[in-house]
Parts: sequence; structure tokens; C-alpha cells
Amino acid sequence: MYDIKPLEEEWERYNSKRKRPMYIFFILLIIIFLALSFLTYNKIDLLSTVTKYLNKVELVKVEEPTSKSIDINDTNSTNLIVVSEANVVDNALVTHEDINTIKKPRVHLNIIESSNEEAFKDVANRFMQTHNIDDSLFLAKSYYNKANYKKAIYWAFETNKVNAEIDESWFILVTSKAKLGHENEAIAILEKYIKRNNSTEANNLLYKIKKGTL
Amino acid sequence: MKSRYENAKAAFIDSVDVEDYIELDTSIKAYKQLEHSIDKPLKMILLFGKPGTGKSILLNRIQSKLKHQKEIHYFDVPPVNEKEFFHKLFKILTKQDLPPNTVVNFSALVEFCKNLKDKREIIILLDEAQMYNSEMMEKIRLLSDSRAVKFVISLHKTDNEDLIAKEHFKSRIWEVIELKNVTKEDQFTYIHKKLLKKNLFEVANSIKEKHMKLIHTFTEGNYRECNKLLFTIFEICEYYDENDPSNIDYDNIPQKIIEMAALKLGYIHV
Repeated sequence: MYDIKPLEEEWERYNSKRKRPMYIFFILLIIIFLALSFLTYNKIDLLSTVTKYLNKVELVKVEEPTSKSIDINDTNSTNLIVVSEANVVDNALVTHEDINTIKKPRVHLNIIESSNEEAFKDVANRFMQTHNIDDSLFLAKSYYNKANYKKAIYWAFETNKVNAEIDESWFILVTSKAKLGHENEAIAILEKYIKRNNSTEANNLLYKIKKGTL
Repeated sequence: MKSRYENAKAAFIDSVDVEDYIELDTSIKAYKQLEHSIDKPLKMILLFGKPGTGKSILLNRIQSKLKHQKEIHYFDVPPVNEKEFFHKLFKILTKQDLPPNTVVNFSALVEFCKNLKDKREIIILLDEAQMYNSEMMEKIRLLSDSRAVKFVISLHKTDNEDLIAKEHFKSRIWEVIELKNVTKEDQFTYIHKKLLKKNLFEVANSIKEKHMKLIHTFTEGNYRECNKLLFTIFEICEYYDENDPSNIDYDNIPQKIIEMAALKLGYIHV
């Protein structure tokens, strides 16, 4: 036996070739195991995401009655809460993206009476940014109702600067002037208004100021 | 010092020596079948099987056993030509040598055989009969018709050889004995008996069941292939025993060595 070394080498090659399917099998087994682990992990993650999402939907649903219960005409309400779409979203802990996916009824800017001075400041700040007359008119009305006629005049004037065609704003301005004792000035403003918009309501108000029965 | 594997290797040198004959269940059955057939008044007996299934050693064995009882002659290798064959046959039949510079008259030989009927019964064992040409086979057939000479024809089993048997001897062959490769169990016994016959008990015990399965898979139960494989296995063992004993376990032959032997003999490939 003189060819033992080549024979040994040949056997080494044979042996490694024979074991190759076994190695491939183990590698496949590891790949399958890793793939299953990955899928299992993702499944749990997906489940938690879905659960979280459902919880958020639940929160939104809980919040909805609260926003609906706020009535703009409810004068008995003691709290003045500025309820906006943004506020509802914040309270519901729902992100902007979630809102897009959840068909939530649009909540308009509702203004409700409140004694909270901070809320007035927020509305005033917002008006400075947006110049939304709903905000300025709200403030004018609110201050008027609180007999803060100076501030009522200011916000009525701000409203008129944006839109001079709003009757309510002019009436708050004129009435507040009259309440502060500036009847002549109030009458002059009102007469000019009547010349431009001859409304019955404006004439009635003029009559009341002149007679001093306001 | 002589390696223990040297004797083991020698035990598997391929030969048809009756001394190396190992009695297995299958070989005993084949022997008895052939012996029984020879006793029948048959003209021809066909013994066939794949190479290495033990046809030659069976013929040797039966000749060795019956030579003192019957006129039985074994033609191990086919003669180079027809002249030599009939020369040999002439000597068996007439018990005389053919005079120099003479040839056998076949017609006269047939007549001679016919005259021997009921006087002598001569059995001729023709090994490797596939090597006889068709003309010689035809003459053998004519001789067998005399009923004084009985032929046992040993053939390799191939489609072509089956054709020879069918075409030339279809009507005259009364008995067909087929030898097959051995089972795993018989091969196990064969290997063990071979080693134990040489008193190689330790070596015999170092070949385990799992090795036998492997050997049987490689050799498909063929005696000649088994001898070749075992010879090569012990040759490799002998090398390691003498040069690198750390590579060998004397109680349990490493599978690596069996596979190396199989690679060397071409049973498996890289």
C-alpha cells in the first residue's frame, strides 16, 4: 500500500462532500428558526400596535360626547372652555396621523362662556395670529356680558377692522359706548351705521339710547 | 513483527480453492441441488449467476467431493481452440492420450460415446461456458445426446448468455440452477468464518454489524467483490498498523478505512 496519502485526501474530499447536505440542512434549519423568530416578534409587535390603536379609538369615542355636550348657546354653563379640534385631539391622545385615519366628526370652533381669564388670553393670542372674527367677536360679547365695556369696545372695534359688515359687532360697540356714558358718540356711530345699513334693529337701538332706556 | 492484518488480508485472496470454501445456508442449498441434479438422468444442467456468485467454487467443491464416486471432470478454463478441447475430451473418454500429429474425428467420438451408454457415466463440468463458441457448443450438445456424457454448463448471467442457453440447449437442459448474491446475514457469516478459519478472532470481532451493512451495500452481497473489499480493507489496516497505529482501533475497524477501501475500488466516488 503505497498510495495511502492520495487515498486519505480522496476520503477527506468524499467525507466533506457527504456531510455537505447535513451542513445545508442545519443552515436551512437556522434560517427557518430565525425567520420564525422574526415573524413571531413582528406578530407580537403588530398585535400591540393594533391594541394601542384600538385603545386610542376608544379614547376618541369617549371624548366625543364631551365635545358634543358643550353648547354654544348654553348660557348656564359656568365654565368657558375653548374647544377646538386640536383640543379634542390632544385630550384623546391621538396623533395627527391617527386623526386622518379615524373618521371623526369635525368639531367647529365653539365658544362657551367661562370665567377662566387664561382662556380669554388664549383666544386673544389666537386672534392675533389668525385674525378670525369668531375669536374677536367672542371676546367682545364675553367682555360685554361681564360689563367690561372698555374691552368689549376694543374687541368689537378689532372685529370691525377685519369685517365691517357684522351687525352684532357694531351693536356691542355702540351699546358699550353708551354704557360708559358716551351716548353722543354712540348715537353718532349708530346713525352713520344706519345710513349705510338701514336695519330695524339698529333703529330700535338708537331709539333706546336716545331715550336712555338701554 | 508480522502485522495481524497480513493473515486477514490473505484470507480474502480471491480463489476457487476448495479449502477456502465456506459453507453457508445458500451455498449448501445450491450444492445439494446440483448434487441431486447430477444424479438424475439429465443430459445437461445449467448453472448460472452473476460473476462472483460462487459458481466456480461450487463446481470445484462438487468435483472434489464426488471425484471418488463418479467420473467427474472439471474444465476450469475453456481451451484455446477446438482441437485442444477435443484432445482433452478424448483423453477423458478413452483414458488414452491422443497420438501425436493426429486430430479427433468428431463423428467417431460421438459413436464412441453412444457405445458407452449404460456402461459409464461421465460428468463434465464446463466453467466459463460463455467463452465457448457456438460451433463447439453445438458439438457439446451432440455429445450430450449420447446420454453417456453429462454436461454441467456454468454461465454468467447476461441477456446474451441466456440466449445461448435458450437457443442451443432449450430442449436438452432439464435442470437450471441459479446462484444469487448473498444476503447481509450470509455475508456476515461468510466474512466471520473466513477469518475464524485462520484463527483471527480479534480481527473478526473488530468487524461490527454497522460495518457489515456498509460492506454489503458496497458489494451487494457478491463474493468476489466482498473478497476484494475485505482484502483492501485489511491492506489499509496493515499499512496503519505498521506505520501509523494511532489511526487504527484494533477493537473496532474505523468506518473511514472501509470507505477508503471502497473509494480505492471505485464503489464510491468523490
